[in-house]
Amino acid sequence: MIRLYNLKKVYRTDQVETIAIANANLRIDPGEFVAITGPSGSGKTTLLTILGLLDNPTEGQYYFLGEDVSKLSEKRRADLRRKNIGFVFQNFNLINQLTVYENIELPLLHMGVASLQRKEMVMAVMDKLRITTRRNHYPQQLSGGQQQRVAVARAVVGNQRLILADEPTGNLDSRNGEEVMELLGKLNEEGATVVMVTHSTEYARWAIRAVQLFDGHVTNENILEGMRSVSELS
Amino acid sequence: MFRSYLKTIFRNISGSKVYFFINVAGLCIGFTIFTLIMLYVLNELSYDTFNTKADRIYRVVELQKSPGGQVQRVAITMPALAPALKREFPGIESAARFVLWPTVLCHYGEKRFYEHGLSFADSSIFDIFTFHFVAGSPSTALDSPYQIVIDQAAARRYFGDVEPIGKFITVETDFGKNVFQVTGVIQDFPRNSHLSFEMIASLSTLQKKYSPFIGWAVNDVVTYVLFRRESKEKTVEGALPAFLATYLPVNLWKGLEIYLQPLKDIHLYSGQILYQMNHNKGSIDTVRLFSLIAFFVIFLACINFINLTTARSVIRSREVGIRKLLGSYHSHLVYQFIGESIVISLVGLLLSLPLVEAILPTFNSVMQGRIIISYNNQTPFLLGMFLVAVMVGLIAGIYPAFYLSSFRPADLLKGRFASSTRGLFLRKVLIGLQFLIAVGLVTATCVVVGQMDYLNTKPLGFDEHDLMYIPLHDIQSRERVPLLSERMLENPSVISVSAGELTGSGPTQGEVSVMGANGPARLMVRKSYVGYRYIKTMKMKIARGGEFSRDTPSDSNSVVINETMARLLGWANPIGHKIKMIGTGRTFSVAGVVKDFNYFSLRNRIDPLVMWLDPGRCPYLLIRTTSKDRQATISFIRNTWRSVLPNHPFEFGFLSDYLNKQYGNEREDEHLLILFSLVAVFVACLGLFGLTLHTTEQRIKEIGIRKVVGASLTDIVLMLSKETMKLVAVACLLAWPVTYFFMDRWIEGFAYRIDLSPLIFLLSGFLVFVIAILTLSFQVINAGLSNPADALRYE
Ligand SMILES: Nc1ncnc2c1ncn2[C@@H]1O[C@H](COP(=O)(O)OP(=O)(O)OP(=O)(O)O)[C@@H](O)[C@H]1O
Ligand SMILES: [Mg+2]
Repeated sequence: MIRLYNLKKVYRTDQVETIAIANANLRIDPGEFVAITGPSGSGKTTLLTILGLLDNPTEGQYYFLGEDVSKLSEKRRADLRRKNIGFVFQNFNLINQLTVYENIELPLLHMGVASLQRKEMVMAVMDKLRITTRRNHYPQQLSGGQQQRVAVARAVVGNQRLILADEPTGNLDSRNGEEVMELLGKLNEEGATVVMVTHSTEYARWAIRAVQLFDGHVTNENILEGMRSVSELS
Repeated sequence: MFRSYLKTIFRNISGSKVYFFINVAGLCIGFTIFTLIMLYVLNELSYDTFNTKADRIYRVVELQKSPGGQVQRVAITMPALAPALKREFPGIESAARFVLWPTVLCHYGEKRFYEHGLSFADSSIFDIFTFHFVAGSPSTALDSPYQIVIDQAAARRYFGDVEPIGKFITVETDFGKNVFQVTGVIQDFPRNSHLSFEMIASLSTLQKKYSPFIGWAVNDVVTYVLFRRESKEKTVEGALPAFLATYLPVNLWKGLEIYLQPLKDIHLYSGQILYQMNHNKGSIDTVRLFSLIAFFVIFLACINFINLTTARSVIRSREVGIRKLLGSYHSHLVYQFIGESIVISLVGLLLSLPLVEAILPTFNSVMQGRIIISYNNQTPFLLGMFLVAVMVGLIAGIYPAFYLSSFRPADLLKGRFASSTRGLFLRKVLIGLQFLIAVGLVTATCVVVGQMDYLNTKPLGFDEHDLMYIPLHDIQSRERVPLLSERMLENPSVISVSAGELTGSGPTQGEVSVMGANGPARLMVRKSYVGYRYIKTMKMKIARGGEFSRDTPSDSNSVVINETMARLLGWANPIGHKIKMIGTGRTFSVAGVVKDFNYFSLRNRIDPLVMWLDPGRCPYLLIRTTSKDRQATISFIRNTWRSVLPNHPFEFGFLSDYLNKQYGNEREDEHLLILFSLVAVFVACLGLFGLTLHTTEQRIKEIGIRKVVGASLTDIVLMLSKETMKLVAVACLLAWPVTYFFMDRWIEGFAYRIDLSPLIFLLSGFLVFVIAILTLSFQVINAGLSNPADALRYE
C-alpha cells in the first residue's frame, strides 16, 4: 500500500532549515496496524502529513497504491485523499458549526455519494460507533471520547482504506483512550490499514508493528508482540 | 455539498452576529449613500440629453476683455449674431435667440397669474431643442409678433378644458400691456434641461416693441446654434474672429471673442460664465465630490469586510482545513468564500433599497427637487446597482477568499492555527487607509463649513436684516411709490423706503462704452435701476460723491458706480467721468461711487455696476423697518398698500430670506457633504469597532495574564489602543497634504475665502483621533476591567 524510498522533508523558514525527515525508507502493506513512535520533534507528524498526501516530500519517492505520488498537484492529491484516506487527530478537528451527523456526512458529500445512500452509510457507522443518539448534537456538547468517536466515524464512513491517526488518545483519559484504541483495532481487523502516531508504549502495543523515528531517521522497526500477535492476525 | 457550505455559512453568521451585522450594516449604508448619490449624479448628467440633436447644439459664449485686463465670459450675446452666423456658415443648420423675461402678470378673463417662466424666442428654437407639440405647428407658431406657445400646465391654468389655440393672453410687461395669441401648446418641458420653457412668445414682439433686441449694439439674448450632421464645429470656431471683424466696428471687436459651448457642457461646466438664463445651475465640482464620497463609503465598507473576514478567519480556518483534508479543492473553497461575500453584499443592497425609498423624498426636497430620475421603475438602474453589489462582493471577497482557502490541512495536525499575525500587516494598512479617508473627509468638511460660515457672517456691504420688499410688477404700482413711501414713513417703525432692485435678483446687464484711463473701452456691467434713497435704505456705503437726491434735478443724467468699476477703468477719481450707454446712446456722468457690495453670493466676484436713477423701472419697493414688533409693522404696511393700490395683490418678503434662498444650493450641498462625511466616518468606525471587538476577544487570555503579573487598567488600555493611535497619526500625516491640495483648489473658486490654517487640519485630525478613541474605549476599558480569573478560565 505504501512505499517510501529515500524520503526527505526539509522545512525552510526565513533563516532556518529544518530537516524533519531525513532519508526514510518504509513499507506498509494493506491490513497492517503500524505505530509510529519517537521523541518530540522527531518528525512523526511530518511523516504522517506526507503519508496522508497533505504535503509533498522534498526529495525521494512515495508510492501510494502503486502510484508515484511524490510530485502530484494539490488537486490530484485531494482526489486521492478523498477516496482513500481517513484522518483522526489528537484534537478531534470536528467542524463546530455542524452537527455530529453532518460532520460524519461531510466526506461522503465531498465524494459525491447520493443522498439516500449517504444516509444509510452515516447511520451504519454511527450505529457501529454507538453515537446514534448524539446525531443532532454539536461537537461542543460532547465529551472528548465521544468527539473522538465521531472523528473516527468520519474517517471511515466512506470506507477509506487507510486511517492515519496522530496521537488519537492524546487528549483523552485512559478509559476513553482505551475505547478509541479498541475501535481502531476493530477497524483494522475489518480490513483497514491503520497508521498511528503515539507517545504511549501502552497504546503502541495495539499495533502489530512499530516504527521508531529519531531526528528524522527511521531507527527501528519492531514487530510487536503485545496485545495482539502476528499469529492472531493471520 | 452546496447545502453543507450554506449550513456552515449560516451557522457561522449566527455564531458571530455582531460581525455579520457590521459587515451588512456597512454595506447597506454604503449602498444607500451610493444609490442616492448616483441618482443625483445621473440626474445632473442627464441634463439636456433628451434633446435628440443634443450633440449638435451649441451656445455662443462671449469673452470680454476689460481694459483693466480682466476677462469675463458672458452667455448673452448680440441679437444680430444668430442670423449672421446662419448666413455666414453653411455648416450651421439653424440658429435661435432666447430671452428669459422677469416675472410678469398675465391674465385671461378672470384668471390672473404672475408668470416666472415667460421667455421670448425665435421659432427656430423648435428646430434646435426637442419639443412635443400637442397643438399648433412648430414651423409657424412664433412666426409673427404677439404669438405665444404655452405648455400644458399653463394651458390648464388659464383655459382649463377649453381649447387654448387662438385665445388671447394679456401680458403686463414694463413696456406696457400686450396681448398674445396662443398659437401652440407643448408638452411640459423636461425639468432636466438648462432652459425652462413654460411660455414662449415670439422674439419679433420685442424687436417691434422694445428698442434693443436688434443689431450688434447690445448683448441681450442667448444664442444657440445647431450644426448640420456632417459639419464640424471646429472649422467654424477658427473662422469666428474674422467673422466678428467683418460685422463689428473696429473699436468694438478688439476686446471681444466668441466661442461655442457644447450643449452637454452647459449645465455642469458654466461656473465661470456670467449672465446665464439657466434655470438650474449644476456644478461639476459637486458632482465629482459627491461621486468621490459615494465611492469612499462603499470602499470603507469593503475594507471593513476584508478586515473582519481575515481577522475572523482564525475561527474559520479549522473548517477550511478539514474541508481540504476531506478532499475539497482549493478553487472550490475560493468560489465558496467569494460567493459568500457576494451574497452578503447583495443582502446589503437589498436592505438598502427600502432605506433609499424612505430617504429619497427627504433627500430630494433637500436637493430642491433636483432629482427627477426615479429608480424603482428603472430596470437598468436596478440592474446597474445589482452589478455594483456583485462587484463590491467580488472586490471585498477576493482577498479574504484566497486568504481563507490558503489554510493548509497539514496545519490541522500541528494543532496550530492561523496565528493572527498573518495578514496583520495588510489589516493595518487597510485601517490606516480608512483613517486616511476619514481624516481627509473630516478636514475637507471642516474647510467647507469654515468657508461657508465665513461667507454667512461676512458683511455683504449692505444690511439685509429688517428689510422688507414688495414686488412692483407694473407701471401703476411703480407710479405710486412716492405716495406709498410717504404713507409708510408715518409709522415710526418704518425707517426708510425706496424703490429699487433686490440684490441677487435676475440678470440685468448692459454695455457701456467709456474712456478709461488707458483708452476707450467697451464693458459689460450690471445695470441697476434705483429710486431715491436706495443706498440709504439698503445701508450701503458711499465711497465718493453722493447719492441721488430729489434736490439735484441733474440726477437723471447721473449714475453711481461701484468701486470695482472705478478700479477696472483705472479711474482714480471717477466723479464727473462720462459713461455712454450702448444701445440708447445716452451719456451719463458719474456722480458717486458706492462701496463694493455683494449682490450675488459671496462665491461670485463683484462685477462692475452702474446705478441709474429710474424709479419707473424699479421692480421692488424696499422698506427698512426696526426689528421690534414685526407683525404689527407688516400689517401696517399691508393696510397702507391696500389703501393705495386696492386692485393689486399684496406680496412681500424679507431680503434675508430671499438671499438665503439664493444660497440655497450651496447650503444644501454643504449640509449633504457634512452628512455624507459623517456617514463615511461612521462606516469606518463600524469596522474599527468590529476589529477591536475581535482583537480584545482574541487577546482576552493575554490580558488576563498581564493583569495577573501586575498590569494596571491604564497599561491595558494603552496597550490595546496604542496601535490605533499610531495609525491615526500616520493617516493624518498622509491625508493632510492631499486634502490641502484639493481644498486649496476648491477654495480658489470663491471670491472671498478663509485661510487654510494648520489649525483646521490639527482640529480635524484631533476629531478623528477622538472618534477612534471613543470607538475603542468601550471594549478596551471593559477588557481592562475584566477579572483575570475569568479570562484565564476562558479557553
Ligand atoms: N511547518 C513547519 N515549518 C518549519 N518547521 C517545521 C514545520 N513543521 C515541523 N517543523 C519542524 O520539523 C521537525 C519535526 O516536527 P514534527 O511536528 O514532525 O515532530 P513530531 O515528531 O510530530 O513532534 P511531537 O511529538 O512534539 O508532535 C521539528 O523540528 C519541527 O520544528
Ligand atoms: Mg506531532
